[in-house]
Amino acid sequence: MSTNKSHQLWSDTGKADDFWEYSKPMSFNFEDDADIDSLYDQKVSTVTSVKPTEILSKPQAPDTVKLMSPEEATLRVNQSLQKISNKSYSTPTSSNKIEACIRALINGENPNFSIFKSKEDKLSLLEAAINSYDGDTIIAVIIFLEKTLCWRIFAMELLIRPTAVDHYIDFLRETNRTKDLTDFLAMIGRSEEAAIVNYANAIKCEHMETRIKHLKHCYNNFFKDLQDELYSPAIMEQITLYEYQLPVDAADSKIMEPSERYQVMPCSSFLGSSVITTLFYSIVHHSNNPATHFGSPQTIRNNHNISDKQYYWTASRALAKTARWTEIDNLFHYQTFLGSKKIRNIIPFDRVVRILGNEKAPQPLMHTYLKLVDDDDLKLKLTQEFLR
Amino acid sequence: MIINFSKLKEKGVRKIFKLEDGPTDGVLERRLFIANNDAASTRIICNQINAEKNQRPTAKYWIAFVPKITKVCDLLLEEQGVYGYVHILELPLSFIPLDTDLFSLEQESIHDMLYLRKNQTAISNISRAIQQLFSILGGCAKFTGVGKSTHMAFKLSDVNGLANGVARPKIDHLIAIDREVDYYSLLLSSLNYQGLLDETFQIKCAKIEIPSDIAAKEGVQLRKYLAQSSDPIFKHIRDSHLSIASADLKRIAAELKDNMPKSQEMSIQEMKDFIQKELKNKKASQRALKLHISLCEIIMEKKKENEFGRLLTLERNIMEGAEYRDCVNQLEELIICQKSPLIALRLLCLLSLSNDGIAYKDYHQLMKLFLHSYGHQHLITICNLNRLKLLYRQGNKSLLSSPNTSMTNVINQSKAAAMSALPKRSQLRNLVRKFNLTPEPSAESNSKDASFVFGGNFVPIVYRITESVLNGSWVSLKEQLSPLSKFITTSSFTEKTTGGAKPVIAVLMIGGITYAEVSALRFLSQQKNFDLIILTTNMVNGDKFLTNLMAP
Repeated sequence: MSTNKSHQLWSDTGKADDFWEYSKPMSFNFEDDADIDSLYDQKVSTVTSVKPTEILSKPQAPDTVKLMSPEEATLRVNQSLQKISNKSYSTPTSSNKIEACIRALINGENPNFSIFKSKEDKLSLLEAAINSYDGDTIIAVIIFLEKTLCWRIFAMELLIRPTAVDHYIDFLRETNRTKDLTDFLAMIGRSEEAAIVNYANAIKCEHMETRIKHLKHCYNNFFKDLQDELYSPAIMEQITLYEYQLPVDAADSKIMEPSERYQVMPCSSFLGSSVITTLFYSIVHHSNNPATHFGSPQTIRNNHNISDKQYYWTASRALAKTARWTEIDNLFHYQTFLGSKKIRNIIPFDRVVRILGNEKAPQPLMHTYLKLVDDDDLKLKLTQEFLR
Repeated sequence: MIINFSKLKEKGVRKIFKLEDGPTDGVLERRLFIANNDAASTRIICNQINAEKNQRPTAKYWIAFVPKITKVCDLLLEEQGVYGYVHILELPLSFIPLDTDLFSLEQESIHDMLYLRKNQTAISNISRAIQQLFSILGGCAKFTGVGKSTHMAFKLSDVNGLANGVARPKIDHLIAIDREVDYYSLLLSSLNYQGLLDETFQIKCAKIEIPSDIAAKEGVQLRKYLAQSSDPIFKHIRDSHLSIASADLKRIAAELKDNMPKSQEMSIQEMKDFIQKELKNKKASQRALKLHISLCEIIMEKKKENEFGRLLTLERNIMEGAEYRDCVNQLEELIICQKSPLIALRLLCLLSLSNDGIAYKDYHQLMKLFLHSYGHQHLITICNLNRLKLLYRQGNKSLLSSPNTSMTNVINQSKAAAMSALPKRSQLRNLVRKFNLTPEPSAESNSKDASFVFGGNFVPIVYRITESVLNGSWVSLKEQLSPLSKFITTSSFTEKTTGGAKPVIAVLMIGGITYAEVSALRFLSQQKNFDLIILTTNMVNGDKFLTNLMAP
């Protein structure tokens, strides 16, 4: 069915075949081939009949070589030249050929691209594809152009056509040509996207040490010069985090069973978890270590510039989860310079009550914080909810 | 959804597998792969065939690409050396009926392809599906498109003849809308029953998988519940606000109990009739009722856990641009406590949309907290949302492109500060004013306006567009819709109308529609008395949408 159709579309195939004669041994190449052949002939003949010294002495006079006569050579060159002038490269293929090609692509057929030789033809084909709004057609034409145009021209022509750029990028992404994609994105000034593409590949790696290596490589190559205030620092931070997690994980897995380690954790793996989850873990397992100890929560706090809000929220959640009520009290109470006891007001007290209530904290403790809630309505609501 | 397994078995199909990476059950000699036309699926198929083609030279393979093979798939098959071993088929699946008025292509990837990757391959799929539908239904008399993709789909269809069957149009108006036009309705929490069901249990192809604990409790045999209008109780409550829905359920339960005739009062013959005809129905509806009540209970519980009331207030404030500082603080708290990243992202995007970007300092603070709480891999998520213009910092562009950052930074920052000092209305504020998108909260349970699907916080834009198409004059329509998108396409193929008692309106949503919007449109069709056909590329909700954009 489809072959029939395409035959109709390409009724002028004879003309196309004509075109193809080009690559037959009628072109300039023929002369080169002849030269090589003749040299070969010369060798064969000389080895058998002439002494080596003789070859050196008279290499210019191979009587056994069959050379083309000057007249014949001129004739052939002229023929070639004529063909070139007849088939001018700059003549655009008629627009209905382009139209037919695009229609065939939209209908899911495989038209013959090779008839579009000139750059102008290729570009009008691309324009026609873009105007067709059919993504697959655009990609098909781009694949053809990429194959048959030199990279510089191809890229320059894509650049002035944003739709083509988008489709080319997506094509590279889908076919996993990361290197080409990175180069192309960098060339068109979308270096942030190029960096993210490589970042996504780097973090796919399962093995943590290799992942760190990939990340560092990625940072040095793509993010360092990006001067972005979000991406670059975040990646440095991720590397720091992983470098903290590795030794802690190695040490802990020796002294604790997985069931013990992850009993109250929201995740099943410590390696690769987020900063807050790591902090949570560290408060659950290492809060009794001295602040200078590598695994202590203090290290994370310093490494990642953890705000008080983040720290106190996470600490109270972690301590409540493990029912360490006295430690919660210690967390919020502190002594001022003058020695009077005070309660930190970093988290709203109604939220503290909620955290405690959800973990069924002892009633006296709940009362302490419930008393501190200012809003009377809220206080009543919390009392009803948690102090039954 | 399309065909059941017993039918396939009749035709000799022995086993059905889900397409997954990894080794396969090698018993089967002849295999048909049905795959989406993307690179990932093609790669899996290539791997499977390559892994066993040497050991099983007699095996035969077919691949059916939905809806047709693309150049990328073709290239991959060639590169992987699979060509020659496979027969390639095309399976041009069109709209799948999810309900009597709801048709979907069920292709989730279309949104990301069109708007994130900017690959227009799907446009031709959509236009082909529409033509296929029209060849069955008859053409449409008028077309209105809002958004770039709809414009392209229209142009592509025009070439192939959208006006097909215009002589006797069956549809008065086809309204096509890009998802891009209204991300708000995607990100807000829905409050209609079906929307909540979708967000809590995930409706897949109109089916809900009932959690095993309820199934056990209620003694339901079916593990899957088909959420369609074939269940009269479901049809009655699906588009109502949850509170109304649960009240209705209680009322129906009471009625059903009352209507059960007393056996003492019946004659033998009556009893016989009753058992034969009605008892079965009554039992079925009782079962359905029980199921819906327990589903409602689970939804309520889940909502309480997440402090849903607070969330709704927060959403309302963000949408109205009120109490900005308080909104940011609440968001921070939500993120620090490691609440669901999806909720956090939904609110972050809403905040950004409502303010035309988040102010420089807040943006960086929130992003830092987000990465700390949910992991640095979410840089990819942020980058994706950035590109969709869903989440960005004010003055984003200029900062990125300027090579000489330190100096321009300062200038830009001061510029941004100066800009924010001016009482400039954001894009959302403008839309809200023009289309009355956040109506004044009226008395409870007054369902006179469609914002009930979002708990009174917002009227879906698709609702307003459809309304203006119905009410407004054809001439001024284009101008009226112009604030919504740069691309408004209007076209009238014929003056003829269907001539039926009710007009028929088809709404096509490219990039997915939510059940909240579906409910709003159904509500409109009841009020304005027209027949409604909803077409879409896929059913979507905020969580599903963001999960697709999130880093793995």
